[in-house]
Amino acid sequence: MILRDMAAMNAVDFFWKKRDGADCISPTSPDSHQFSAEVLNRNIAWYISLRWVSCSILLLYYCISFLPSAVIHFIGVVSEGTWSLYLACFLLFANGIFYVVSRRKSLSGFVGPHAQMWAQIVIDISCIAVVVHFGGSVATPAPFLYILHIALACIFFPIHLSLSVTFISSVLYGACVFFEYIGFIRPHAVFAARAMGPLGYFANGSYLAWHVFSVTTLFFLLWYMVSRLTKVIRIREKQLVAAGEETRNLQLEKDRYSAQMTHQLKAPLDAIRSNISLVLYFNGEKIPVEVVALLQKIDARARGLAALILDVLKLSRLNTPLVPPEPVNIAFDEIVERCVDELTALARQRKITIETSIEKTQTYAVADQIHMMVENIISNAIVYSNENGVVFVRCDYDTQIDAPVFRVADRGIGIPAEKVPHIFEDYFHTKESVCHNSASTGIGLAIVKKVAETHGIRLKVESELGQGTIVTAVLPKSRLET
Amino acid sequence: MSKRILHVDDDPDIGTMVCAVLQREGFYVTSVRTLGDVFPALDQDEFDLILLDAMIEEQDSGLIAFELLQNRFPRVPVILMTSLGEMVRPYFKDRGFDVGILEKPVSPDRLLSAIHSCTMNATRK
Repeated sequence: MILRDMAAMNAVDFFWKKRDGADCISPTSPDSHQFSAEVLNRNIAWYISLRWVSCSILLLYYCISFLPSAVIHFIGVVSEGTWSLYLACFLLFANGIFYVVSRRKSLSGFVGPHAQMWAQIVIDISCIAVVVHFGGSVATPAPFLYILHIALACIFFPIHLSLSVTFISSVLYGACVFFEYIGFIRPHAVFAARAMGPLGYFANGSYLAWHVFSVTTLFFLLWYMVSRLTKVIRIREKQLVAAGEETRNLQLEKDRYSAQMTHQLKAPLDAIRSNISLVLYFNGEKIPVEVVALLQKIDARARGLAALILDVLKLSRLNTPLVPPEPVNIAFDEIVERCVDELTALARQRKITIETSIEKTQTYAVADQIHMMVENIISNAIVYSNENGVVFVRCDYDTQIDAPVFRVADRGIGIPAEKVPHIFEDYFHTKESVCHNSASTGIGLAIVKKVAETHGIRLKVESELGQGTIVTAVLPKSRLET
Repeated sequence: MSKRILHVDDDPDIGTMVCAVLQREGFYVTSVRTLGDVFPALDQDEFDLILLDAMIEEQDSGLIAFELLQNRFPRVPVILMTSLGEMVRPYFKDRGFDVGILEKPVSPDRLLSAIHSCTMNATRK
């Protein structure tokens, strides 16, 4: 069997995800600097992961109190960790809720991604206030934990909201130090050496005032710098989105123009072929055999040219469909059989044998598009096979991957390893393919790519120059009819 | 009685071929080159079948014309002639039309076979 003999080849997997327009900044709101829900959801998930780490650190700190006092003394940490246990429990509970909410899709309003992000920042800042107090508001760098949230607020929120976060952080920090200074709450510190000192720090009011002033000024400076940088990035993102949109519109315009042009090119060829068929239909017996042969040659060349133009027309029509294609459950085996039947004449002409192993298989797809894909893959295998070669076509349901699989193998000219990743690009062809088939345009595989992209079909191309090529397509499973 | 066919195509060579082949087979053919001539022709005469080019005058205008024809003359079957073949069928899927498609370029034999089966179906109905 061809497939077994051609095991060790260069293999490249292809999967094109259909663009869903989930850009970083919503293109539908030109004046907004809000990130799209998808971007926010991704970052919410990242936030939640970070929070699990924070909970672990708090619990770890609590566990220190169980160590022998000599060890605690050695590492220089104060073991008054019950606050860290309560805080870790609270954070675990809150993070659990955030996790459950974030798993639910299509939420909006008060439970939408913006609201979730806002709630998380508020909870985090409140928890940081506790950590700053018990960790050492003046004696340790704990206040700098606020910086992370100020930066994140600058990135994800509009400027007024990030300023609010900065303001709240400053007030919480100032209040913490003030209440510790007036003795309303007792100052703490996690490190033993500093723990001796807090009272020392709190004896000097002007020092504390300068300290709070410096830290809060730093908060506002950071807010200014990050929000400014973020603004520049957002403007760039918006420009990118607009450029992408413009490119897509130009592409559509190009496809429409291409469809119109190809129709204009094909119409005269159809007319030429119609006239030839008219001459042969009415006068076939009266015309000398040589003239009939000549007319048939003209018709064959016109047919070849028309087929190339039709490929361009089909490609542009796939990009600008009349109506969005609706996939349904279809008998894939019947499509493969029909394509093999249609291509038997071409194979015979090139002295190629087509061997088939076709099992009953269903797929969920647009029938005429799948027909185009199968037809192009098989015809490519025929066209790039050597004379007297064999093309093997297989279609079955792979129970291991639980999906319909279509596979075509040939012992043809093969593809150079460095060219394999590019074969699905529009109008791509290799030197070898042009030498073997001068009519090569590089449109057939571009059609295959478009159909695969539309249907989420995974393709695998294994090839070796001079040895042959195997193309494998994993198709969508059929769906339960409703 | 010979069947009457209205052929709508802006390409004069295709028009000549279709007329010649169908007239030889005993059909009565009226050929028009623009969509503007279709309804006057249908108001003037009764037809058993319409052969319509999908890309007459502009891209896809034949598809819109197909709908208009089916709405106004639901009893007259229409065969759509297009290079795109089955690719145009999804356009009619939700519109409830049973569309006959003939892929261009069409040989005399295929043309006759499509017309015979379409007129026979219409007679049965």
